[in-house]
Amino acid sequence: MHRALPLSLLAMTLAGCTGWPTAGRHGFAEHTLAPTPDSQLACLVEALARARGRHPADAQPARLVIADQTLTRARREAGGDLSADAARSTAAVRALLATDLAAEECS
Amino acid sequence: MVRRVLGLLAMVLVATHAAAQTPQPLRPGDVLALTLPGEAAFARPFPVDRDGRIELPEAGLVEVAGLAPAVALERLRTTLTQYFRDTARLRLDIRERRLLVTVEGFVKTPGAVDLPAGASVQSALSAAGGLAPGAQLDRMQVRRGGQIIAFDYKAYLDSGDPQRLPRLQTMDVVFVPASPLIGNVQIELDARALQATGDAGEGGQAIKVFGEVRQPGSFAHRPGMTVVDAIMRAGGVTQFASVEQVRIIGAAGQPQLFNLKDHLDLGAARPAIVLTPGATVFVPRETDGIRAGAQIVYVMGEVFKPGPFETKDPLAFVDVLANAGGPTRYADSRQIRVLRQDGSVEVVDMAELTGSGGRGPIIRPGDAILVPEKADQTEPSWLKVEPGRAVYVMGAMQRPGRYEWSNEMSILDLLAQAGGPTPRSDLGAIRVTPMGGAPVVFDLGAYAREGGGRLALPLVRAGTTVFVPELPDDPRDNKSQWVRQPADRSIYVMGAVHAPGRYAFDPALSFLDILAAADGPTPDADLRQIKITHRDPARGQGPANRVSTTDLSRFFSTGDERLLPRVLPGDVIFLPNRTNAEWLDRSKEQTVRVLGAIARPGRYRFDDTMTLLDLLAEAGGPTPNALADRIVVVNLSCCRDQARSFDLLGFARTGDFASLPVVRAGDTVYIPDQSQSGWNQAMATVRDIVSILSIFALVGKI
Repeated sequence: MHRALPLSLLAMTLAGCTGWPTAGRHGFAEHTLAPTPDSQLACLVEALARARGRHPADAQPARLVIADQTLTRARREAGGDLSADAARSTAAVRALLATDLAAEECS
Repeated sequence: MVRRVLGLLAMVLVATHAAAQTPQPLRPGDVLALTLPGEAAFARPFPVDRDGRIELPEAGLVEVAGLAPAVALERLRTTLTQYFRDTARLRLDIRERRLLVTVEGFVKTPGAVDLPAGASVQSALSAAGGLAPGAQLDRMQVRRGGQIIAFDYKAYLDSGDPQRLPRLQTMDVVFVPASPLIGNVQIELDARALQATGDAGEGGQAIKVFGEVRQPGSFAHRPGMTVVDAIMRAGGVTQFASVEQVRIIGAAGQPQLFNLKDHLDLGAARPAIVLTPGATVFVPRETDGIRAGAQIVYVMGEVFKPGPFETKDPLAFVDVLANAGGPTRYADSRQIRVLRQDGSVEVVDMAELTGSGGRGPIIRPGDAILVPEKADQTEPSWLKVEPGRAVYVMGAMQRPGRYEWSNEMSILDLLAQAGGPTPRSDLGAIRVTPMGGAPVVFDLGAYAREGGGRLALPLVRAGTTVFVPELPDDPRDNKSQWVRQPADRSIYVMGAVHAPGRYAFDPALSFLDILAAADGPTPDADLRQIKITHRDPARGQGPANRVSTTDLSRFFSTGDERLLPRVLPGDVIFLPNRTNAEWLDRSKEQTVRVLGAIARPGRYRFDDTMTLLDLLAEAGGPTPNALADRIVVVNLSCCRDQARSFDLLGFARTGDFASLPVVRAGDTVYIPDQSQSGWNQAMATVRDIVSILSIFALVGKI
């Protein structure tokens, strides 16, 4: 009996402290008012805002709408521990904004 | 004896003398002068009236006609003795012998006329007002007692010979008959018309002239009248008369042929035939006979004056044609045939000839020129265009059929000639098939839009078939007609549209055109996932077909034309259904799987504008036994997959949006239930341990 007590305590401890993943975050990263930590993303956010500003609000090119959406994804992924995915999404945004960006801008 | 003879002779001489001295008896018309000295009543002339009487002063009428003047004087004395004295001194003289004549018949004022002595018939007619129109001049009469003296007044007028007229006597009746031409009905006489139809008074004696003369009719016969006289009397021959074939039938019925041309050419050598009374002259039409010979050139068909033309010398084609009056407007002047005497045929194109300034081939006697009639396009007979010159227009044209072709024409000329395409024709796929060659597809619509020179037009030659296909009347109901629409001109629309089907399509049309033609997407259509199969035109011979997805809802939200795919004939457009789509149709990368303690677990469409909260709401929210503070999100990553948890209860308390985990399409969301909480897990473990320890205790006691 004196040997079973520590074993049961260990089991209780293990059951209560393990089995659940860490808390997620930044699933709504675009909502955060704080500046984007990633400088490249911040650069792209600004570039996209400039590009969209060149068109009337009711005549936005679909390319910029898609870029906006993809940039949101990249920001979410960057904040949500999916840095490799974020890099891909960022590259996709850069490709969509290729005509709006100067060479090497936001790279 | 001698004395007796002398005495008889003397008596005869005395009687003869007495007879010579015997004055003419009085007659009507005589004007007498009666003289009775001292009686003024007798100082006037006393005319003998038509009854042979004179009217005496006081005594009245006394008949004196037929009495010798002496006898008449005696009778007058006897009568006047009762009223006058010294009648023995009465004297009678004939002062004037006038003619009392009656003019009757066709004169203007018939009746009695009083003429001076020696007056002629003409004076009588004149006194009666002259002849009335329609009077028969050659058969006038003078009636004297019971005697009728006929005379020809016309002959007198012609000759002026007074011997042709009878000498008038008093009490004569001059009768002017009517011409038989005026008929039995009194009408205004038209002298010109009468003249035109002849002047014969009697049918039996009249010369009948008919046929190709200007004024056919019956004409009075005159002695010595020849056939030329008769023809001239009938106004001469017309231009159609066959002057070489004049026929004369005498009163006895014997026919005779007269060649007027010869007569005119040779004169006295061929004298004109003298006509007998009642003869008939017929001038036939020239065309009644056939002229043929080695010196004739024939011009036939659509010229103004077709017929044979005499020539001894070869002539230029143009000269012959000009002599025939030239082609009419119905002539096909491009296909004129020259039929040579040796049997060969030569085609002459007048348009070409006039362009080059030539005079055409030499035409020799015996040759024939045929100017054919222009082929009338509305003419049902197709025989006029020979196969070597025909092209065939079929299909959706206003006037399909066989048309005459000339190499200077283009297909546009042909289509225009055929009335142009019908409204339902498919201008994009006109098929031009030369005789024995492969068909060529001609896009008239593109030519009309983009233009192009003659080189852009397909080559058409005689024998070519031009087929203009027809568009189906209704793409939804073209089951019987769909074969008429070629596959390479069709586009296919399937799925959630109001009128799926096979549509005629043109590369110039757009995606929206065909979607609208199919009456647009249904309300259930998934506009984000429109699939387009871009088929390889080579149909498997070239690169493989390509499939693209179009998000039409994004087009509607942005209006960006570049989102619309370019579709071509042969492509297939499929609009999936949004509500009851096959789950297999959505790939795992396109959806988020929501599992566990949720009202409606399942696969959900998701995009990056949404968050985990939207997803939970769409799935009906966690169930009451859900472990809402341990919601797990499994991220499908390119490189390193991961799981994150979300405390919904904690989020509800704090409102910390930063605590929302990242969710993207392809991820999985799991909502555990209360049984999987840490406490429950621990309690279960404790229960297990207690159970094991209990077993050990029991085993130890044993």
